[in-house]
Amino acid sequence: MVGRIEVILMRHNISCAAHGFSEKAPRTCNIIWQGLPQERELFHVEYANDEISPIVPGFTDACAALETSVVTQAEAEFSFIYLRPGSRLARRGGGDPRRGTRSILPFYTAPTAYSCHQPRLLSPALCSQQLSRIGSYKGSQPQLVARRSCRGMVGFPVTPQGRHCGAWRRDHVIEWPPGRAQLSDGRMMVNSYWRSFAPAAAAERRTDKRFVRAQPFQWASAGGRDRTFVFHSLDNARTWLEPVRIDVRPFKSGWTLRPIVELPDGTLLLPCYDEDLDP
Amino acid sequence: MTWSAFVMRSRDRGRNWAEPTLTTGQAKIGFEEPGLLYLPSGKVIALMRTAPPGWLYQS
Repeated sequence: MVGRIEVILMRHNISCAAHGFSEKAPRTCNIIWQGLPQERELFHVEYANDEISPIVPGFTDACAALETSVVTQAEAEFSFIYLRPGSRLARRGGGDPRRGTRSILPFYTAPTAYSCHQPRLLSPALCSQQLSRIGSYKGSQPQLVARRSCRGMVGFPVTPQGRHCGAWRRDHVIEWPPGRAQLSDGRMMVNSYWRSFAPAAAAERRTDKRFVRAQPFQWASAGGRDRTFVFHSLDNARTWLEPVRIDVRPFKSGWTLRPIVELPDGTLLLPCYDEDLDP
Repeated sequence: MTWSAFVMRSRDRGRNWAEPTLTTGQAKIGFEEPGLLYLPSGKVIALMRTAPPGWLYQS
């Protein structure tokens, strides 16, 4: 069973749905179901990439333990985060300050709908169009990309133990939802990167300090072997051309999250970043 | 450990990418997760956050 939560943006007259994984995280989902409905001011935050997050008073004292290894939600999924009492975000939630916990429910949305990097997509009509597509949108565009070029991987896991890794090479995952842009000629472009993972012991040997990040997982980012890709579609995401791998040298990795930007002369700019482990 | 935000450039609709360019000049702090915005004035703005997180920068 997959439980769904409806999110309504009243001022914009937009509604969308997010779902939780009741089978894999029953305690967490149950806590949320018991706490609904909630109504609160929404914030745009960046926990994974782009989320809208109502920060609500602590409606439960229960503490949901980590039930899955997935720590970053994908589009149209929700997660549940405890905020420490007294933290800045917890204070925004209001409610009874004596209550031990505050909670936040981030709802992952179509990234372009709320991206501060693409203001032309911020019109309410277009937001509505984007959000109303979430039901079919989830997995449609990324899945097409993945099925053609990524051996059937669905979604965007953060560790090889994540739920989406069954058909994927165990040592590579696409990390974070990709950037998406539509160019002036209609071409759709998706930019993303593979991050290489290795069993923790091997990763520890290779990367040293980075191993601690992956706790408590048994896999860790291996570093230095990540790959950057751009995917093209000429028919509104129905089919995709072969992905273009980008040589980012002299950088070691070209991690990329935000959409490609097109300049008036047709030049495309792809924002990337790199963590150099051996400065 | 150094974080670098940079931009790749394509002049043939994405078939080839080259010219990696730092968005931070010679800044001595690390930056990550850059996003770009083209303004009607012709400027390109890069927004990025420091690594470790703390501040949001514009370039």
